Amino acid sequence: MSPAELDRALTRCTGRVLETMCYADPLPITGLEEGQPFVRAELKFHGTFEGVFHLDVTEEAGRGLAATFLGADDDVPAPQMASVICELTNMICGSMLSSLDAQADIHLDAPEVVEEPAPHSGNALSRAFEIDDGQMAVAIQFN
Amino acid sequence: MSYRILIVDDSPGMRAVLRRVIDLSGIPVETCLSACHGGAALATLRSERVDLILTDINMTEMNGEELVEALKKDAALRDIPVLVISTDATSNRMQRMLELGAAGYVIKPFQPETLRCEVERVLGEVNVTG
Repeated sequence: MSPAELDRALTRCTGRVLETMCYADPLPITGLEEGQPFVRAELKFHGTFEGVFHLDVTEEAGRGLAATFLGADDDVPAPQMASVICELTNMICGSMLSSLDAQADIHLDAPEVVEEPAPHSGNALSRAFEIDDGQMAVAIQFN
Repeated sequence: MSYRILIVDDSPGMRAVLRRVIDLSGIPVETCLSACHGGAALATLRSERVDLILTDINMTEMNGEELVEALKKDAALRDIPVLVISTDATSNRMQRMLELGAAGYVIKPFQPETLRCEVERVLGEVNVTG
């Protein structure tokens, strides 16, 4: 699969998950602005595909996504927000890998919030988006 | 008839969403129980009557595939319908879960209406056969 096809799959799956589960309409941007507090989730995958997936979201945007995901009227506490960000990471990664090969054998580790994700090597693919209340980025790296 | 439903997912956020969709669906529900993995689900099922199980696949300790296998080997539990809810949309996985005995398979992300229809379909089959 070409880098362009991977890029389209990453963008399409991110959009579908956010639209379906959070009623969000992510707009692609060139990159994340520096200096904002982020929540970062990491998920390792195995099987036909081996690698790691990351989701970074600004805290304010993460709270907004979590509130919509949960149907909550009030501010979502940090542990609940982290759980939702991890679940969105799981959905985007699972959707993308499934879309790459319908016959694949896919195993996803439990996603977790991390302080600092391991740096991506040169073959990582990433996409950044503007969403309500902030920004987010997704990145996938195959071993 | 009001139903007793068990939600099995290691994500508290996903458990909350599934419960909310069911609460808003209009399906008569007596109790909505939850478990964070297959082992905890089996422990719950030893003491609680359940009409339908909604389960994720990727979970720690006992995953959804192992849970369905364990249920089908247990004479007291094998007739409880299981609806799988997973991000894994590969045909291999879906076919394997259905062959193991799952009653249905909903791919995440899902529209609330999709889940409601599947739950109603499976519970409808329970009523016909039960």
